[in-house]
Amino acid sequence: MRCRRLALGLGFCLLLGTALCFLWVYVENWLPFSYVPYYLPCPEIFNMQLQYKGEKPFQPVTGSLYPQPKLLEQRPAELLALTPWLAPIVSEGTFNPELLHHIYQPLNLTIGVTVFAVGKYTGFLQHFLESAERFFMQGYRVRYYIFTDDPAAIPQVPLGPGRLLSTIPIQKQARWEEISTRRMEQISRHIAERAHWEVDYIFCLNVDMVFRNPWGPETLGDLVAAIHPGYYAVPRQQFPYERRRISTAFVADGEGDFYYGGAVFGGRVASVYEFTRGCHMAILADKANGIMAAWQEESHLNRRFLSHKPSKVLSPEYLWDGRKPQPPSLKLIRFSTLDKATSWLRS
Amino acid sequence: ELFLQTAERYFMVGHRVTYYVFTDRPADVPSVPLAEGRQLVVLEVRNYARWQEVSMHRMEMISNFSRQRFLREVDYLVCVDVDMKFSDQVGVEILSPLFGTLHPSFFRAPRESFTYERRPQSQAYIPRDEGDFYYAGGFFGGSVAEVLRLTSACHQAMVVNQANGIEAVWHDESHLNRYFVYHKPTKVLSPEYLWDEQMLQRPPFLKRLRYVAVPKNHAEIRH
Repeated sequence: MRCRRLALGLGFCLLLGTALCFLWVYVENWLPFSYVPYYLPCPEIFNMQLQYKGEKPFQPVTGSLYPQPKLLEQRPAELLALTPWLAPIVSEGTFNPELLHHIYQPLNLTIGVTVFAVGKYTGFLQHFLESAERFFMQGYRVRYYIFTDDPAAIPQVPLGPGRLLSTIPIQKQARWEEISTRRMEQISRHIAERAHWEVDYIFCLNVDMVFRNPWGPETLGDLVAAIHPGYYAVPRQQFPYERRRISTAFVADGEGDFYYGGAVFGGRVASVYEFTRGCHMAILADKANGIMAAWQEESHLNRRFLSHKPSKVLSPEYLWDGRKPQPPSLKLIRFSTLDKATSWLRS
Repeated sequence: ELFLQTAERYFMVGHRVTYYVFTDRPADVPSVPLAEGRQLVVLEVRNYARWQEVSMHRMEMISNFSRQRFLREVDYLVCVDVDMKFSDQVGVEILSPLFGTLHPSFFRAPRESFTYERRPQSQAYIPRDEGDFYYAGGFFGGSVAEVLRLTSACHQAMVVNQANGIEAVWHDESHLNRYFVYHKPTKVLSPEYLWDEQMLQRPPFLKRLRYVAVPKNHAEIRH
C-alpha cells in the first residue's frame, strides 16, 4: 500500500518537475528583453552573430567593348589611384562605368542606404531622395532606411522599380551631438536585426546632402571610406583627429593615412556591422569616462579606419562641400552638401 | 633545387607555405632545407609525350587536386613555372581572390598584337577588339575556390578543343587569357613578377625583378 503511494508520489513529482522545466523555458523565451541602462553594453544585441551568406562567385563578363587599358600612360596631374595598402582610390578616370556595370549588374545585388532625418533634418529628405533616385546606383535594387523621430514628415518621393523605402522610428535626443553619436549604435543594431537579411551592401550617408552625378558600383567594396573634402590636401598633423590621450579615438601626431568624412561610409553589410559595432564600443568607453570626441563619431570612425584599413577609398568627389569651389583635380562632384544655415537647424 | 632554394629566401617569408610539387619522378625531388612552418608535398603524376601536353595537363591536375586536397589544406594557391628562380621579395602584396601576371613581352603592345588564340573554332578564341592584357601562363593564383574555377574552366575548354582536333596557339596560356577576359582578375602583377633577363631588356620603371627565368637548354630538357 505504502509502496504504491510512494511510487505514485515520485511519479507525480517527476511529472511536475518536467512540466515546470518546460514552463520555465517557454516563459524565458517569451518574456520581452528588459531594458538595460544605455551605458552598459548588452551582450545579446551587440554580439549578434550574422548568418553567413555565401560569397557570390564571379560571373563571366560578356562582350563589352572598350578601349585597351594602357599600362605605361600616366594620368597627368591626377589624384593618387592606390593607397599604400593597395586599396583603390576611386575618382573619375580611374574606372570604366559601363564595364563595371557589366560585371556587377548580373549579380542581382541589393544596396542599402541608411540616412538619419531627425527633427528639422526631415526637411532634407525631399532633395536627398529625389537626387538619389536620379543618380544613386541606377539599375540596381536599392533599399532606403530612413531613421526618423517623425515618420509623418517623410515626403512621398516616387521611387523607381526595385527600389524601396523603409522607415525606422527612433527617439530624438536633447543634443545634436547625441543624435550624431548614436548613429553607430543604431546602424549596427539595425543591420543585426534586419538589414543583413535584406541587402548585400550598405552605405551610411548624411541626409543634408544631394547627389549631383552618378554614384555607381565603382563604390562597392568590402569596407569603403570617403576622404573628407576639407582635409585632402592637408598634412596629417593638421587633421582634426581627437588628440586627447584619454579618448579611445586618440590618434598620435605621426599617424594617419587620410582624414575620412563621417558623412559617407559603407561596404559589405557584415563588414559595416563590425565597423559600426567597433565604433559604438569605443564611444561607450569614452562615455563611461565622461568624454566626447572632438568630432563625435567622425573621430571614432577615423580612429577605426586607421587600424582597420578600408578596402576601397572614395575621393572627395563622393563627399564634397558645396561651399568650396571645385578644384581642377576633381572632375566630377557626385555627392555634396546642400547649403544650410546650421544655427536654425540645431536649435 | 634553385627554385626551392630561392623560394625559401624570397617567397612569402614568415608565412605558412606548402609546396605542391607535381612530378613523374618523385625520387628526383631534391631535399632542400625548409624554414619553420613550410613543407613540401610531392604529388606523383604521369608524364606526357609532348611538352605542350605536359603544360596543358597542369590545368587538369591543379583542378583535380584542388578539389581533393587544396581546398582543405591551404587558403591561397599560387601556380608557377619551375624553370625559374626568385630574385627578390614576393609577399602578401600578391594575394587576392584571383590574380594574373602581365607577360613581360606584351605589356607595351597594343591588344591586336597579343598572341591570343585568333581562330574562332578554338575554345580559347578572343576577338581582335577585346582583351585587357596578355597574361603569362607561368604565374597566376588566388583563393583555392577561384583557382579551382579557373583551372576547371580551362581544362574543360581544352577537352572540347581536343575533341575538335584543335590545339590553342599557346596552349594553357591561351585558355588562361580567355578566362581572364571574361572573369577579370581582382589583382594584376606587373612584369616584376615574371621576367626573362636574357630575352628582354630591362626598362627603367621596372624597379625590381622578383621572379626570373633560368637559362635552359630546351632541346635537352624536352628530348
